[in-house]
Amino acid sequence: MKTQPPPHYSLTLLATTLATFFCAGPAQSADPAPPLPAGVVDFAGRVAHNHWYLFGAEKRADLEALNRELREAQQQLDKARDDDTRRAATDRGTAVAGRLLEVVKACPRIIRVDLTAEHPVLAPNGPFELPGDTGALLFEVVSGGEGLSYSTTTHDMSLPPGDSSKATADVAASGTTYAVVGFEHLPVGRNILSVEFRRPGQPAVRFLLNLTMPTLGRLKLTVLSDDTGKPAPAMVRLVWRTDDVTRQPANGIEFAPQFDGQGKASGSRNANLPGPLADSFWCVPGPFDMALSPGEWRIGVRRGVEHEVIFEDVTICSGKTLERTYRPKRWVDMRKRGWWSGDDHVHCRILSDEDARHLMSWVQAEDIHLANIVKMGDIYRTYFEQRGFGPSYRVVDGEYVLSPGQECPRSHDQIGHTLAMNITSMVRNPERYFLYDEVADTVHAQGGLWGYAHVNSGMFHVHRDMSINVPRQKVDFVEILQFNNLGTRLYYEFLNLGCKLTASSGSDVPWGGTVGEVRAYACLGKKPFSADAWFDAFRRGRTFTTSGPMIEFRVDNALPGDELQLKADKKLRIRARAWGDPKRMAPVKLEIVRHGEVIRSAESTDPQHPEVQLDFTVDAGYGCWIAARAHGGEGTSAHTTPVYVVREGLRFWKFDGLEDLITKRLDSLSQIEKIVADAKKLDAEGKLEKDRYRKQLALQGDALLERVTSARNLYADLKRTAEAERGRRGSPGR
Amino acid sequence: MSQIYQVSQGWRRMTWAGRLLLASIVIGLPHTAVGHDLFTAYVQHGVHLTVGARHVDLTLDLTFFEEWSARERLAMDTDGNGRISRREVETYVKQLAPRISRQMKLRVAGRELDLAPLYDPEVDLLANDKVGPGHHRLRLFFFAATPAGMQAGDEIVVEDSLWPKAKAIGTLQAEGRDGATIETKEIDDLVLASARPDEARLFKFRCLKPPPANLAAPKTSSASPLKPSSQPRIRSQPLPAPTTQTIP
Repeated sequence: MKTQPPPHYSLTLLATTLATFFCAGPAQSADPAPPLPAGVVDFAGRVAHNHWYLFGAEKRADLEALNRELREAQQQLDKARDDDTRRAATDRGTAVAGRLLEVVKACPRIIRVDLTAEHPVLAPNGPFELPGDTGALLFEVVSGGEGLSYSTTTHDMSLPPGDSSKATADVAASGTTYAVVGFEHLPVGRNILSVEFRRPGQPAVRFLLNLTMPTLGRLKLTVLSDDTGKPAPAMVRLVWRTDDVTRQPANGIEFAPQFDGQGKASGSRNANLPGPLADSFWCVPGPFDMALSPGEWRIGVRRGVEHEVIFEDVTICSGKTLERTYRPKRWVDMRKRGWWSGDDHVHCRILSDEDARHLMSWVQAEDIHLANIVKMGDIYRTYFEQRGFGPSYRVVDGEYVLSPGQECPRSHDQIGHTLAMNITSMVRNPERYFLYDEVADTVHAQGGLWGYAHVNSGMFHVHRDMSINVPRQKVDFVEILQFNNLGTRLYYEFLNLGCKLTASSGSDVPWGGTVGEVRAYACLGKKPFSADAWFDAFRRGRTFTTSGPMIEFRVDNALPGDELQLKADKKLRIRARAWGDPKRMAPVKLEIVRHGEVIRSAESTDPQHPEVQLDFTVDAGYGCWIAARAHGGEGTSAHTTPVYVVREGLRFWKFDGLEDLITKRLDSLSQIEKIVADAKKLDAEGKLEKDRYRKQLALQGDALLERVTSARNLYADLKRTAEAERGRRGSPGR
Repeated sequence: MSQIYQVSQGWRRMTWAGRLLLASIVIGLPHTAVGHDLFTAYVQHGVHLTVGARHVDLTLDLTFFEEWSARERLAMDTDGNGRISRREVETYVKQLAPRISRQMKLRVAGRELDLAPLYDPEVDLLANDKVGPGHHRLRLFFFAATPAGMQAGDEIVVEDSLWPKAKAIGTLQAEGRDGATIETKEIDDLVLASARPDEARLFKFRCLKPPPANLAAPKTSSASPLKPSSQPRIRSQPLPAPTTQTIP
């Protein structure tokens, strides 16, 4: 059986502290309440959370309630300021502990150990059957004398030989101890385990236990494409309900070697998406057949946002094979509407056909048609190597394409991270690393697209270089959605200056959760899908980004990214629709945004049909940008590229707020001037010989400052343009 | 016997040499990382709040990216062999416990609730038990009694001072049970600054509909936070998803 190796460690926290406190708490009372048994709170938490199966599913709720009550009693004790309160809390805790003791004593799997006997024995003496590759034993250990205590331990049986067949349990020197001993990574079949009971001041007592694991069952799992009915890659989650731990599917792809040790370097992917989608899923390229511990399992299957998510509870029986076939149903097919999905930010090595196959399985499992596979660079080196760039290095499988691109230049403390798509060669010159415009120009000369990463979060001071190159019209796109975070502050600031920017998004795996958790749709209309058609549509700005809901949006007949040129004010008809997966996204909220402000919104009311539409008219005024955005009820978001409404002779900017907007940009430019000045000063003092970033910033500073000056001139021009427009606009302007 | 002893000494020397090397790398890294605004220097704080008739459950998923993970992994590796055992993780978490409890607070309508640990914390090393840069996740479980008189519009604030020197990426998830409806409140910035000594990171939620005050404790097999509750076998079922979730 291939099981997931990750150590999933459940850890002891409070036993000692609580036991000490409970024991010592009532000591000052004139009539002290009896202390709680040592370790009882930790024991309660452990059996409720990890080992409830020992008691049977019907006792799980009771164990959970007892755990909470014990911990509430402890809180009361923490807060107690007088003896009466303290005694009341202790009485409460004692009562709950008594109820817990009844449940524990009645446990059908309890093993009794009498250490007072001349030849201590176990009753029963085994063999003891564990439920699978994890499990626990519950002991009642009698040491003689008075007293009651509890202990918990867990042992990893995958340790090297010598340690791998030995477990220990700490028991009190006297009285009765209830000890729960957990095991992880147990071997299959019959095994002999040494359990050692350790008592303070006394020799340890060791027993050899016969353990058996039930015969494994078998699962044959197939996921079908809803389009073809044939087996297809999918994201799959297997959880054994006995321990609620995920297992790696037999053919789950391990991506760690393709991640260069960067980010979350594992094939176990936790999407940055709401609810159970955030749990670990593995990419499986096709059907698999694997042995599993018998019992209840939960199977999860995902195939990207356009498909419903399937969760099913199944029972695996010893010695039997369970065959399951799933066909996640599409709740929407955006291709039929002319929209094709993409992810602009996927880091993954492709140096071999096997690398390509693995990654292709992943993008197909997440149903991403165009993945920009970015080689990453910094001022020192590159990562996530590719075989090459350009159309001949694309990996194409039907309507799915891996297209090599780059995330470089990237500067963290200086001016931000950049992305390029559809390039024919990597564009990187460490000696001119901070002159991002040169990269943009080269990328454009190659027929590529250039933009900024992480604009949603504003990380890495990306606003600084944006302030240079957005007004210079060097920038095609910006990431406004990442980690399921729609961040529009910077985006709106530049749009409000009358700068066109296409909305995009990328998962940034392996730092992000999974390919396509956020995605950019490009409208190809009736054109057949190809990488070139997708890039052409993207270049026109015909995009929206989403982590869940879908959007359709038109201003008159203009689509996102289009420009409506008007000679005079007129009524514009706005039609928008947002909708989501009926099984998880209700209610869907739709907002129409003009110059960053919501001018109309609506929310779906039928929980079975999370869909909402708006159809209304607005005045074009003196021009504007208008976009649609949506929010799914479960926390996902979407946003379109705007439609640009341009009045003849006027910019589409937010005229009223220009002074503040320009001031922000000038401040960003001042920050660049300062970091260059600081770097030059340190360099002159000889302090940058080991800091390549700032050393190069000092060396390239003059050239960068020329660009700053150029940008300042542009902002000065914008101010003059505003003055010139003022007379042509009414008051107040719009 | 002597041969075994010599091998053992050699291994020990290697271990300490390796440990020193790792220490120099890892101790050096965070200094650079804190100064540098590297993405790899963040800790993602996933805050999941569930409000029911009897309890408010708070689960924190802290995902440590490379550099803070390296720092914590080094702290876990007490025997210095470059690999982290289960026992070492247990010890690590025991040492964390007092600090963690002090660094979390929960307020409803301005009133602080008695927040208690619900279960032992869990560490998931994400299939990598080596010391050095990686990712790992620390899951913390807390709960408090649902305050009487909770009203629609009440603000629920999680005050988080965990790993105050690390920059944070915040993610919020809210769930209402027993008829309650809770929503997340957007915060200004996905990327949160390092927490100051006297100032916690604030994660805010709003009660849209409080749970009924007279609702009895649920008798069903209770699910722990973030675990799907026992449900009938169905296909394509609605996810047991929260009512709202926002990653601000």
